[in-house]
Amino acid sequence: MTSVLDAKTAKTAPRGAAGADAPVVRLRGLSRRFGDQTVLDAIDLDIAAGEFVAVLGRSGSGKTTLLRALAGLDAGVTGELHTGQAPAVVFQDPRLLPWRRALANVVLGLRGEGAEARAREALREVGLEGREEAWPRELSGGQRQRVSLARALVREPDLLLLDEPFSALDALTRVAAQRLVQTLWQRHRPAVLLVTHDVEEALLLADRILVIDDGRIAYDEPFALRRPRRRDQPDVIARRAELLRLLGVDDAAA
Amino acid sequence: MSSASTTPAAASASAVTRGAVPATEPQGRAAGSRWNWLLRWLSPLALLALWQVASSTGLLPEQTLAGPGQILQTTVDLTRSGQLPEALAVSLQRAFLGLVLGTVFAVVAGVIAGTTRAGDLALDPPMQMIRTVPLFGLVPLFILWFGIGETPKVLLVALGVVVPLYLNLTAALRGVDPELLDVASTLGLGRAERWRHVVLPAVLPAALVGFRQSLGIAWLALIVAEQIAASEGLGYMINNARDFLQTDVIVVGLLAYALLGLLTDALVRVLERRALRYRDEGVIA
Repeated sequence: MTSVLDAKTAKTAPRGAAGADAPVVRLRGLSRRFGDQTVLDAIDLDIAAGEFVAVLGRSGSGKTTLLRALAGLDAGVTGELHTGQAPAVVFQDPRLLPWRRALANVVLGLRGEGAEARAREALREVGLEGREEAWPRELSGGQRQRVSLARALVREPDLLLLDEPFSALDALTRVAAQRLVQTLWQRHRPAVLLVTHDVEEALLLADRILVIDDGRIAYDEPFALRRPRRRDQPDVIARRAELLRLLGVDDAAA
Repeated sequence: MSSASTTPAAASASAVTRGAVPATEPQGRAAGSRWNWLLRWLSPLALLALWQVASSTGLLPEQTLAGPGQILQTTVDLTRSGQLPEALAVSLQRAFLGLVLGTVFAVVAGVIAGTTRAGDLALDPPMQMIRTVPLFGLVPLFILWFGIGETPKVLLVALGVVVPLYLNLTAALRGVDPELLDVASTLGLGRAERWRHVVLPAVLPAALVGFRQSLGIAWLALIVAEQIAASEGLGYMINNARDFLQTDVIVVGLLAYALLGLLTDALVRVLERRALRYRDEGVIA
């Protein structure tokens, strides 16, 4: 992965106003083929510093492939791909090392002095103060995902990639985790790319909604609604219907 | 582990020592475990008493099998004279050398075959072939190639150690969770850190299982190897005793083998427990 951006500028992204700086993500003609199947088809995309982008799409649409490419986990992509610093990733399952305690999982790969202190602070921020010495097995699913979030945040990324991070959680835990992500984003202002299949989740969290269909960006619109948002706000309901239609689902529920 | 012999002495000797193994395992599981534990000792002790009675009454002649009391006395005598400790030391050294040699080879070959495609292609077929060769069938060849000194004994042990450890290690290396390897790369871990934090802990349980199997074979291989014209060690002590119809010494030798096997197995189990702490301690919550 080439880094054309000045990492320092990206790191100290201005609070609030997004888009003033050079983009954190810049894709031009990004493609991915598996055999003769094209999963990503010449994607062009810019994501500004501090922007919260949700990527919707049916399964098999290529949204996870896009995230893996941005995470630098896919060496098979072609085209132009620039990201700032190494992005931080939170996966669908927490993917903690089961043989390392919570704190050690967060410290993993951190360099420099005070790494442990920073990891402790990150755990405190996700509400896990006092569980530093717990093994992953001792934590609940929601707690594990919060450790995973702390592990991503402690690196102070300018780009946070979230790959359906809430879909494995039960409904109540999910709401709490979504709120936590919003709070942490408001505090640290990384650019976020949230891959999800949940339209409401996208509308509750993101400033900009993308829909990927058949490897192309089929929809790319901002969604400016003051936070905190609620599911029953007219803007949310209207946009939800529009997006569901686009995703090929009849919106009978609304 | 130490059941290579078919004499009744070996059978009852290992029954006595083995009685301790399952007894430690279900500890604290059921409420009546303490009673179970005691009850488990009942039949071995009864057999031992029966054996002693048969020997004392002359029903069981000494040249067939010495009685427990006699064996105990012989153990004390052999220990005092230094004969037993000396033989133990020699056998232990052979096992240790073979174990080290076999382990080093298995780890090097296993890592190469388990992590690289070329290594897998080059090393795996011959290793799979070696697996099918009956280990003890090689003894005549080994004598022809290496004589009757220490070399064939150590090599036989080493060869026995290589196969299970190699197989377990390569399987575990191929099975390292690719999702955790993804995490390692997104966290920017270098090669050394990746091995230390992800690969090694992931393969350790299987490696230890393989090592335990290897240990079992190592002792077996040692017992067989020491039958080859040994001039010192436990095997020599046993062979010598056979010539003089000293059944008590034979049993002492067998017990020593059994004890060594149990001790090393227990050692690896301690290692296992320590390495797998994250599993056991996690159950509490």
